[in-house]
Amino acid sequence: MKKKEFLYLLLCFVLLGVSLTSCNDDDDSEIDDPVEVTRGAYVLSSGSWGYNNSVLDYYDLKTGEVNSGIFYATNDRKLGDTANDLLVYGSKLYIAVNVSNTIEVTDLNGKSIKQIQPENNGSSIAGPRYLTAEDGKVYVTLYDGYLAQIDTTTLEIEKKVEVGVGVEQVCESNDKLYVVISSNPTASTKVKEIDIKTFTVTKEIDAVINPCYIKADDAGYLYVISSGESPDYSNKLVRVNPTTGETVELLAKGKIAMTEMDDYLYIIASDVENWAPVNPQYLKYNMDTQQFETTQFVNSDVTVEQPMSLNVDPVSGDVYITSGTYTATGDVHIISKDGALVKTVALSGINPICTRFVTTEE
Amino acid sequence: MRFLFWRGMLCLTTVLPVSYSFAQQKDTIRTRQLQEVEVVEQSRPAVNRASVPVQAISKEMIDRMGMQNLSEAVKRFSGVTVKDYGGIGGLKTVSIRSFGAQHTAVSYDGITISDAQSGQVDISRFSLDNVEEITLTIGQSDEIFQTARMYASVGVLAIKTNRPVFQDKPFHIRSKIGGGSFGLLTPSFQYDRKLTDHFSLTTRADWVSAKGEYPFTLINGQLVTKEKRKNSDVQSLRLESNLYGSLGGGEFNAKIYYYDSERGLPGSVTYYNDYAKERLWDNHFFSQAYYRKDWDVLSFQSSVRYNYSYSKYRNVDSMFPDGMQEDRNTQQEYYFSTGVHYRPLNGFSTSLTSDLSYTTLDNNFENKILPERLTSLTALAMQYQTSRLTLTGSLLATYMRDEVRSGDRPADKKRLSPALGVSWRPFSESSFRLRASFKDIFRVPTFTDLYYQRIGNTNLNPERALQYNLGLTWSGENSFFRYLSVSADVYYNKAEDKIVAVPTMYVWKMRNLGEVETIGLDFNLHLEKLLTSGMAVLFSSTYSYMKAVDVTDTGSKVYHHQIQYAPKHSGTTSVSLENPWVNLSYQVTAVGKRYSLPQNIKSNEITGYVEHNLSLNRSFPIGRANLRVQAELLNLTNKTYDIIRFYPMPGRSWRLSLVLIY
Repeated sequence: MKKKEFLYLLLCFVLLGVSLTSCNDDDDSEIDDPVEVTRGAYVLSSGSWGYNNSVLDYYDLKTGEVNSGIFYATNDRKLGDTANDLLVYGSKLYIAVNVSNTIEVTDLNGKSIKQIQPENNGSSIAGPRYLTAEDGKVYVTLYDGYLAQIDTTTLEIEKKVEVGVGVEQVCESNDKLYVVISSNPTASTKVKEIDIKTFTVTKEIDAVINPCYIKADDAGYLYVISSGESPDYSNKLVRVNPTTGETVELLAKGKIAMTEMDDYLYIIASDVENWAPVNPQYLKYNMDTQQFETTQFVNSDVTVEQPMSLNVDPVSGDVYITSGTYTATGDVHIISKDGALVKTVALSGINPICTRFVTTEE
Repeated sequence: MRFLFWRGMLCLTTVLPVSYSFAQQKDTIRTRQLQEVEVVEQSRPAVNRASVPVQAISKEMIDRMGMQNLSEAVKRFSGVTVKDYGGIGGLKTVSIRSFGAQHTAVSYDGITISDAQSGQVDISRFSLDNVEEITLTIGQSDEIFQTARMYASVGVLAIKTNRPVFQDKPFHIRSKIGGGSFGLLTPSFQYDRKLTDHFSLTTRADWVSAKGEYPFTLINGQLVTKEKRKNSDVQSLRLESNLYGSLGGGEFNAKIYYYDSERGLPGSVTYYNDYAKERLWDNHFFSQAYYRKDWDVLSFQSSVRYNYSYSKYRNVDSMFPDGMQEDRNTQQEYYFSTGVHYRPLNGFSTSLTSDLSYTTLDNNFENKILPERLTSLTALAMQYQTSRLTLTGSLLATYMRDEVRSGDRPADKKRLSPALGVSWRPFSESSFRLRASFKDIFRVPTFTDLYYQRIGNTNLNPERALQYNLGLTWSGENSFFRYLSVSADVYYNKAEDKIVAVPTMYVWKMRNLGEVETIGLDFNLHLEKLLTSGMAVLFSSTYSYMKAVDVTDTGSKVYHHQIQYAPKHSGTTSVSLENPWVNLSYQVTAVGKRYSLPQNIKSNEITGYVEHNLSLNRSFPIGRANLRVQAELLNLTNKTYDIIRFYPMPGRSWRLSLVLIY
């Protein structure tokens, strides 16, 4: 990366840091500047449990090339076991590695700045799961029951609040953080609200069984995916009013994945046969009008085998859908705004779980 | 990724405890076939005339090479892979020619050890102290008068213990004290007693204790650290008693066996996190009796057995509601086998054997499924044998029915499984033989595959295994060699409907998914040369080539890739020098690169290794007793290697033992 370009990018991130930390940990930038361009996409692969093979790949949009395994290439050590989430915030990447029990902080090239090892009191792992950021602080859920606040200058965990074992995704809305508590190890329906200033739990909402993913819209509604219950683990998407606790079911399908961009939820909803997702539907939900769009965002002639995650390029509106089987390295499929397949990019990791974008001005 | 966490939980809770618990089963002890003595073939183990590959290691070789546990012996065979999770208490299973370990039967004094829960046998629990011979048969054995269970596998690893022979006095005492690196202590005591002219009794106790915390080097790119394998201690006690006798003109024996152990499970090495608090307790008890009677052209045999296995797994982790998770499993099995062997014509014989077993599993889970399994196996076999030709055919009929207290009941399993084998000596003046065999067999889904919490799938079909083998053998002696034997086999295998755990949306699930084709070559060479009187050199070497590729889906990224943990090249060599002073044995094991995951890419590669071991022994007569001193140096070059990825093997270590026999 050219130095001048990098500094410019850095400045851009610092100035617009607040908007980058919107509730949705999937989109990273809401920069309105018309000359904004996306430089690249980071794809995090969690690997296989027990194999220490989490991988961070970087797809350079300009060259169309993939820099494989940039964390290992720049640091000469591995990311570790079962990476779970990636956050681009300011000039840094934050990578939550669940089983290795680390939060790796790197620069935008993947060069390690600090490895945070959250304390685990009597548990096998604290289990860093999901990340978000707000107002100069990074927040990480720890599976052993906490939400932790990381200061972005000292890169230390400075506060922890107990939210419950099995905590999964976190998002921000109106100076509040919302976390979902999944049904592991014990059945749960909870969404918990944490006041950022006091850093205490201020509300518990009974949303839906086994909530695992959460997003928020501008009006403050929460969108929660339930991973269901035994035996079929059939998924549900619900909209929750955090003020009243009212819950409305939007969608029920075997398997649901979502991301948020501008006023839309992008959803992949699949049936399940033999415990594998089939017949994916690519739905767009307008959070403003509370309506599903009539057309799907992927054309019917495009086939993505085993879709895993989806994220939207904040500038171009392209949708990046990762796919893969547990046995082999995955791919990312880039879908244009008009639903066509632009490109399929081969990744070097197994189980690609999220794509994050880095933008610059030109 | 939920499923990754769940898989973690699954591995913590299921796979390990399941793999450790096992049940026993009873089989016939031996068959007495009318085999003509061939002048050109020596009275060595009849491995050369078999129509399928048979390899044997005798007590003599075990002593000579200083092998102390079964996995060390099995690693000397060609065509097998020992999956070794490292350390004294680490799980060790045997995989034949790239088939899963559930396809390998392990028999102990003719008793097939079965485990309906995990389907595989951990061979780390066997001592070699009282072993007479270990035999590995790949495919269907030519010995047709066996229990039906011996027909129901891809191959059999048979462990045979020594039966006492009394000459000058009516008792024997054998006591041993052994020890070694990592706090290893292995005392044992055996007392054999002649009771009457017709009955004798042996009783033995073995204790294994090890601290187990061995050092290893963890290599993470440029980050190289010296670590210790935490939580790898083991304590185990084994008690065994055998009654031998003759009854009503027939042969009778009975066995009681008890095993009790506690061990730490160090788990796989995770970068940046060395938490390991899992523990496992095992109790196994079995009791069985066997009777056989022979008449002119007819033989009869029958065996009965009861097995009880209990395992307790505990993981301490504050994330669990009670601060820990505890799984307790109890498996019981009742087994009965009876068979006849009929020899109406010279050279022609036939056998019919029927086995019946009833297995139950109980545990402390919330939603108990409480499976009960009734299995009926019937084997019909025929054999034609002359001094130059052996022709064997068999048909196994399996019927299996499961009942469950709750949930879905799987469909009954019914199959017919044929096997054919031929061994031919084309030249009357030479021991050179050609052999060909075929077997179509399967393994039934285990209780874990079918019922384990969340991951079990009651719709599973059996996993099918097809085996074809072509080989040649030659053995003999000449003026230069006291003994020389060579065998080479090429084979083709196919596994269909493989039962594998597949991650789904939220949990892992067992499915029939995957086909594997294997082409391979196994080569064995054994020679002995007398140097001067009292001095001899013995040399053995094996080599295996195995190309085992995934052929499930032509469009997948792993199509035609070598399957996990199957080395393309592997081999062993051992040289022993016998002399009047100190017997010396040197062994080398070499294994080529393997892949830890299905895709053959660099990041999944496990580098090959060469391990060197050295053993020294000497016997001293002390009055009427005999003292044997044995010392071994293992992994001489202190090589850092994994067999299973992230389960590091110990570096250089030593063992010493003193055995007093009276």
